[in-house]
Amino acid sequence: MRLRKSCVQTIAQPTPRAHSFDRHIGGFLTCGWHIPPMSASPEKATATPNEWSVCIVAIATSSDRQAFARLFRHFAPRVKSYLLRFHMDGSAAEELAQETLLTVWRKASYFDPARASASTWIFTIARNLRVDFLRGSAHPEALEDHPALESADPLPSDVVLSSEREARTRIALTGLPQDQAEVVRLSFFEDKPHSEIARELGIPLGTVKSRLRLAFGRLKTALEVLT
Amino acid sequence: MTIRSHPSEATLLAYAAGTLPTGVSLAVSVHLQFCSLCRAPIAAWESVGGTVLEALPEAEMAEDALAQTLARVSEAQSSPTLGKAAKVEIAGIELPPALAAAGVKDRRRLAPGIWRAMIPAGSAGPAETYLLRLGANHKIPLHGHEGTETICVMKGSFSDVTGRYSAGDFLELDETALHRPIAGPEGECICIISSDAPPKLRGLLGLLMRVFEDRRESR
Repeated sequence: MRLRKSCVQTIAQPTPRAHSFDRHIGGFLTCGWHIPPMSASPEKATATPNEWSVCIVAIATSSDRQAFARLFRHFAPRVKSYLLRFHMDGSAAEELAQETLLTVWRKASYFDPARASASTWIFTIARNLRVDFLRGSAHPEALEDHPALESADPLPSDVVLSSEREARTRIALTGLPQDQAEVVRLSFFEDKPHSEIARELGIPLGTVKSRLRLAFGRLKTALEVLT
Repeated sequence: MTIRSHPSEATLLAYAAGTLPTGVSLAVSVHLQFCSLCRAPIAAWESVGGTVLEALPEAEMAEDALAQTLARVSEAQSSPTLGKAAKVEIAGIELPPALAAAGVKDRRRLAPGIWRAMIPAGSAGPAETYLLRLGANHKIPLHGHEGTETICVMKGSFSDVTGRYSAGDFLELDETALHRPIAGPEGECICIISSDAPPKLRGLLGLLMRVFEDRRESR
């Protein structure tokens, strides 16, 4: 795929520093939620997104249990929170959150920090496990490589490193108007996205769709992924 | 070969979020086998998912959650390494892993040159997901749908009033759509179809499909 000049220029810009990034995203996706501040308390180690990737690589290369414990403490409660948003039973959410982190351990060698951030990779594992749980599948899809994360066949979008793409995606999203940001965020927690979101927000179905379309348009402009 | 019909942006987002009905999700996974363009927005939406996950408040885990998981980690080390699932083919087409894992039932002949193979994972309640095969130049009578119907062409092509669709093309038809698909002259056409309500078929094939349904349900 041919990239437009403006797009290439964007790529050439340095990636913003991780912490300022998080603050922007916090504003975008967390409206109405209580977000614990990124504390620097000694018992609760914090890390930049990149450090979480380093933890996964450490698990892959040296079965590093300490790195795993750090990842677990950070991500398992968030994965459980994610599952609970779907009204999943508490014990099932606990079990699947543990299973997600166990899968992180088992599949750590498949993780490529150049292609996805740790949180994105862990999100896809949790998502797949949830889907398998709902389907009662005997062949967990979470153990398959997800098409979008597969490294075997180069995609046109690989012109841009996936980590760059991810950074630009997040930046594009920070600029979304709140109503669009809201439908995007809710889309990750509803099994019947449009009708449920429409009901939750008390807006017509068509409005949900048009907001998503607008949000998608912004993303597309930022990424130039479609022709 | 160019794919001219892709999943809507909302469908791609819901696929990345893991919130699509199973049958539709399987149809998207078939489309992705043919279409690398759509993988990029899905990867983008997945990174949004990562951001959403990162921003979630922490739920309280069981006290021994980490210890339990670490104990299982030790078991995991001694277990054999994960192998890739065996490739599954139907009529010379390799099924995407998600569809192979979901499982496809045996083919049932509906009419000369036409068979259907149900996908139980995508057939809960009124929803039905199946592979449908039409021989060259075979057609399905004019029909509409009570709900929405998702189609992805896996092999060959078919045409209806809206145009010609070939391997990889993905269609989302709503209840207002009425079509009379006919397979291309070049050979058999196989599609994955997922509908959230049974098609309102007219004519002989409609009758055959209904009889087939009754037999399936009475078993």
